Amino acid sequence: MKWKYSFIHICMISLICLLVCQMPLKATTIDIPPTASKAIVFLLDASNSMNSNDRERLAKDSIAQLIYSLPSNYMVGFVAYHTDIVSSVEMVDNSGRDSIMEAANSVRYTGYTNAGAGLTRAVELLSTVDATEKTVVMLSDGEIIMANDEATIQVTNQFQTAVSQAGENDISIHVIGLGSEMGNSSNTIFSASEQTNGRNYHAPKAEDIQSAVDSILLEQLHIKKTTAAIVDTGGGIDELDITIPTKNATNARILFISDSPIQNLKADFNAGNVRQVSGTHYTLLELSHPSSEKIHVSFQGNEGSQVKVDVITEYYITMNPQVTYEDMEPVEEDATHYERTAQIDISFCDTENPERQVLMDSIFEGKSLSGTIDGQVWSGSLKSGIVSIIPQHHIEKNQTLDIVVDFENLETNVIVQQPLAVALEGAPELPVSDYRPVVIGVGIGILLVVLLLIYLVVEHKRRKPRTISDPPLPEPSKYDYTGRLNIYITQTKSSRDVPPLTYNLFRIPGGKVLSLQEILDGCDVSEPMEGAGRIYLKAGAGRCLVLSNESDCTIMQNREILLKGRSYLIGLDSKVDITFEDEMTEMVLQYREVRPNEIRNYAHT
Amino acid sequence: MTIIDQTNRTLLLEEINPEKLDLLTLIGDVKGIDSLSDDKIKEINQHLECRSYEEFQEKFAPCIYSFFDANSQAVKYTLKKPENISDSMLTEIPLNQSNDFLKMLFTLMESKKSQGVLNVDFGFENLLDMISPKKVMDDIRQVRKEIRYNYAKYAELEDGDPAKLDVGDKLNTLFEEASNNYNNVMAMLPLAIEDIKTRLLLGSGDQKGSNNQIALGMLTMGDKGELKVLEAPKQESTALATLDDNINTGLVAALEEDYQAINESPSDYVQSLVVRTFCPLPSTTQSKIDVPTEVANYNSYLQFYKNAKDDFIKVVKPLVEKLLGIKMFFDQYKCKTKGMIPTLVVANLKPEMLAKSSSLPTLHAYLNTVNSKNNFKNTIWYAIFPNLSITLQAGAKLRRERFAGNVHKVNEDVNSLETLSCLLDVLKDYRIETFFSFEPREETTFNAVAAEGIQKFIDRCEPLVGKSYSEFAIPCLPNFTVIPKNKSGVTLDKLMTISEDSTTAQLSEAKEDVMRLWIEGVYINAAYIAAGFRAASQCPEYLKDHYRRLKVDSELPGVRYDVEAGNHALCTRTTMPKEITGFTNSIKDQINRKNFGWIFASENAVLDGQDITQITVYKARNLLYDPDKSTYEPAYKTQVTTYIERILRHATGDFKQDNIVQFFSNNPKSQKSLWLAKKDCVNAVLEEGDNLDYTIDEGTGICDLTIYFDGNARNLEVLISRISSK
Repeated sequence: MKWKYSFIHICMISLICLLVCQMPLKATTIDIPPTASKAIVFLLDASNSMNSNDRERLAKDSIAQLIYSLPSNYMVGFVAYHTDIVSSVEMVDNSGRDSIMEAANSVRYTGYTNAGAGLTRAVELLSTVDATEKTVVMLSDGEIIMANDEATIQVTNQFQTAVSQAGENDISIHVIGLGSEMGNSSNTIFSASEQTNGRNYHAPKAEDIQSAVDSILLEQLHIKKTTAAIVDTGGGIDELDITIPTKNATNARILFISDSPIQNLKADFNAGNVRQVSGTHYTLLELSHPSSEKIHVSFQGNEGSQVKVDVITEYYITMNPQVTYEDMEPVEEDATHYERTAQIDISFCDTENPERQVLMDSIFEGKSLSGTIDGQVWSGSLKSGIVSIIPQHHIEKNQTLDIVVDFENLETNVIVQQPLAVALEGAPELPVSDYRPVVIGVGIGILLVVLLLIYLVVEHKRRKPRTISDPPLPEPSKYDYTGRLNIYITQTKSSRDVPPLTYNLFRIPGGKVLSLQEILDGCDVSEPMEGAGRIYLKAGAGRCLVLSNESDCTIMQNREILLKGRSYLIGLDSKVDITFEDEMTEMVLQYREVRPNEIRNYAHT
Repeated sequence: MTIIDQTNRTLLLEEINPEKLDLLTLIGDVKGIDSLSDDKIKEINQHLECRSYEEFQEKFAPCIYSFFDANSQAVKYTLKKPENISDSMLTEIPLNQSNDFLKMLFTLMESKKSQGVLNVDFGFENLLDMISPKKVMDDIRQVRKEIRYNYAKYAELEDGDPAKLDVGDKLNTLFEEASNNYNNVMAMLPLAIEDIKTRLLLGSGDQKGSNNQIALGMLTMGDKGELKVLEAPKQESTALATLDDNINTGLVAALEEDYQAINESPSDYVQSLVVRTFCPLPSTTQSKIDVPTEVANYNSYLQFYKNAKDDFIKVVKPLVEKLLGIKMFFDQYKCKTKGMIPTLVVANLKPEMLAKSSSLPTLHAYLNTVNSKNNFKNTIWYAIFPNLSITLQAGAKLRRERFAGNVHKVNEDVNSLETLSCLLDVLKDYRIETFFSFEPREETTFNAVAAEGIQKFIDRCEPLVGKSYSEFAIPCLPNFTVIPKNKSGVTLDKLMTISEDSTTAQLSEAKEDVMRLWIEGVYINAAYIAAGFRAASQCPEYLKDHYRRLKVDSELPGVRYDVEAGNHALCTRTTMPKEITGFTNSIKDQINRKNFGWIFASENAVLDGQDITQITVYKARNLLYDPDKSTYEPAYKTQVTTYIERILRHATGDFKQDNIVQFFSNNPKSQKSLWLAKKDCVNAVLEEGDNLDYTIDEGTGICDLTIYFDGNARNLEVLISRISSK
């Protein structure tokens, strides 16, 4: 069974490897802000003497080691010289570093040592880019030697001039002196570093270049990298578990450097993207947005050789300031503003994915950060991915603070736009004893109350009996009206006496349905009679009246209550008693006959 | 068979005694009902129906309330019982026949009637002093004489003698009458006044000139035969000769005991006053007189009495005028055999109360019950609405009032035209004819009408003309005068003065010391007499009494009796004596031109060789104006129409078509034929020249009845009933 598992395992790894190889080797393109941009030029001495000092061509591996260890914000250039400049690669960004390695691999060691032309060229290259930090790393195995002294002097002078130019342009020159000849620290080449705040490193043997490059990376360029492993290979397959110390890094570079070829590299990882660059003595795995901390790799090296595995992580972040203010009553009596203190907290987010906060890993927790705030030094510590800047007191007016954060203390490379401009709002003014708003407010309040009262009074006066949707009118009658109505309002809500009223029905067209309210309106009765609008009268057969009650009034005839929704006949000379919906107003309706001679009398009058 | 046996029941729209039940209270709540129960009608009749003045007096006990106001030291009178004064502080003065003022007025009217003289010739002063203390004392003297006589008899008879018990009964009655005055200081005042006067002016009564104190003596003959009055031995000062001390002593004791027993707060002074008044011949109880005190008392009593009487008359006059009116209403019915006696239902409410919207449905319910049934026992035919206000035109505008003139006070007890029209509107629905008259004052009397004519009354009635109720409105005028304004002075007595030595007193001769009060005219509303006369003439017996030579049917009411026709006005007269010499021709022309109103006349006339001394009816019209003839319609036509309609409804079983045809048929037994058979009677329903005709409109179901009054048509429409068994 064991062989079955091994087979499956190998298949998977192979598949992964295949996938890795099939992936386009395309570096992640990141727009580096100018303020975060840095530039470096590798200046290689390719004179004939290097053949003796660097038989194994280890210098090329060192170039690879250097340029692949640099974070993405480094622009890289390459110049190789002997009698003259033999190779020169323009400044390239992170994605173009392979071209430098191609150029370096094509260089042959031969000719004299025209370091003047080389350095001049390097300075020229650096002058073509806009970067906050410019560096020349120069690898040379000896003094400037040309075909004749005159030329030598000329080149030496040119070299000096270039050094001066570098000094003027804040270009640091770090020199790796290879071979015993460079043991003398006072040679012309080494003097370049002295004049440009650079540093000399002496590598007696070619194998020592690697450590010199390491030193430059760590000490001079402050590149954060960790050495994950140093493996002494036995010629077989070596397996290795590499841990990326930080999660959520934008990029993680795993650089395998060996003095012998590295073969059959296989890796098992999770990342958004990957790029692999392999040289003779080095292999680079560049993981974009690695999502797992563990990377399993296997490779094969030559027996007796050593493989060094470096891990370089980098964060490309955006700083998000959060300002909280605390306003205090000032002690001074003549103060016009509050005493304002601003607390600035800065959190860090991935530039490509601003919603994702970074630097929240446990290894960053409690790490101290420092920097400047408007030139003033500050320090703080990361807590849950947030650093608190020292409180800013006496914020009197609107202002903008430039905050620079130094991530030196973190074990990772941080690419960030610096400085961070934080706008602070000035302290609000102290409240002045101004009563105008109070007066205006009270005035508006009184006005509203008066309007409300007027509205209530008008509503009260205008108040009418409850508006219930009127029931449908009874059907018109086919009979004619004959008599008259005697109306006696026996009780009113207002206790006013209403004189007896008479309403002549015989003058009304027969088909018309009358509401009691219409009749009262016809008699000019101003007293409100709730429900009168829903008591209907129409002519009935045999000189009768038909009364339909659709109201909630109590209507009585002959000690019988006339029900709502029903119609009743009112005969001649009979009466109905109505108590209206307000339960106060009462009325007697008497239906009387009008004889034809009386009608004639009416007509006459 | 008589269907309708009364056509003269009258409703009086006036308040008599607010303390008694009234029509609205008795009817009660009428919510949801159209008519009242028989029990309710019976109860109303029991309380409000009167068939004579005496019955009215008993049922309504008209009275006036008096109380004393300590602040003004005066007695106050009010017709309405004051609610905030306890009964113990109130004195209720009944206005009955024993009230001196009312008695005086009744006497005055009776004597005027019997004398038959005009106001201008009548000696009002002779009767007006009936309310003076002297006349009151005269009455008491009569009482005390009877008391003394009966007491003497009583004392003589032995105990156990049945005759003694009879005398005892008489004495009880006399003492009861006398004791009415014990508690009433006001009633005692005239007694006290006369008592002091008697004692102080002893001897001066008929012999003027001597103010000296007298010394009683005996007439003797002197030695030489000369007549001498010798001073008698002075046993008791100012004492009269004792006749029978035993009787007096017993009577005094009886009066004192009676006074003490009845009076709640007896006073020695009043007690001796009572004793002196009703037992004036004491021999042993007379005490010495304190002349100055007695004179002061006399003067204050007289002044107080005069003021109180004055106030009393002012307050009581409106009520008394109503009482006189009611009495005259009943008085009109003078006949030997009582038949259809006029009946008065007194609403006992102010008309304005009755005319309120809240009261009218109640009135409707009552009238619907009594007038809309085929039982006519309780049917109201007439109503009396007195005291209609008459707006008086202001006199000539004066720049300055040089002399005290008449103050035209607004009479608060009058009724408005609006009230009348409201009530007429209701009453006409029940075909009740309403006699109304104007407020009783000088401006509405015979004198005024004779002088000014009736135009102002025509104008005043103008709003009532041309209305549906005009037919039922009868304006009555002029009002009758009981005491004319210019002859209403009453001399009570004179104040007393004291001699210089303060021993004697005498009546003052000064003009300002004559205590005189003015009654300022007492009048009777013409409506009472008009209604009374009309009610009386409904009775066949009454007509028989007045038309001995003419045929009068014993059963038919006098609905068709036209008082204007022929000599009817002279045959049937009011009982009121003539007041003036008559109206001038121009005034009579004015009356005849439009035949306005129910107008009485005080004309000089002769019937069968006898002078007419009473006031007659000159016009008997209502306000139904006939524009074709430019005249107002006679009142009787309305009542005949009403009568025929009611008979028709009754006889035809609520206007059954078949029965209507039968009613008007020429069958000798049909109602029309029966009426026509009696057309030569004074009280015929259809007289000569009258006729009845009818047409039935089958389409509308209306029976158009035409009544021809001597050729003049009057229409009556009734809705016929087609419910038939066929």
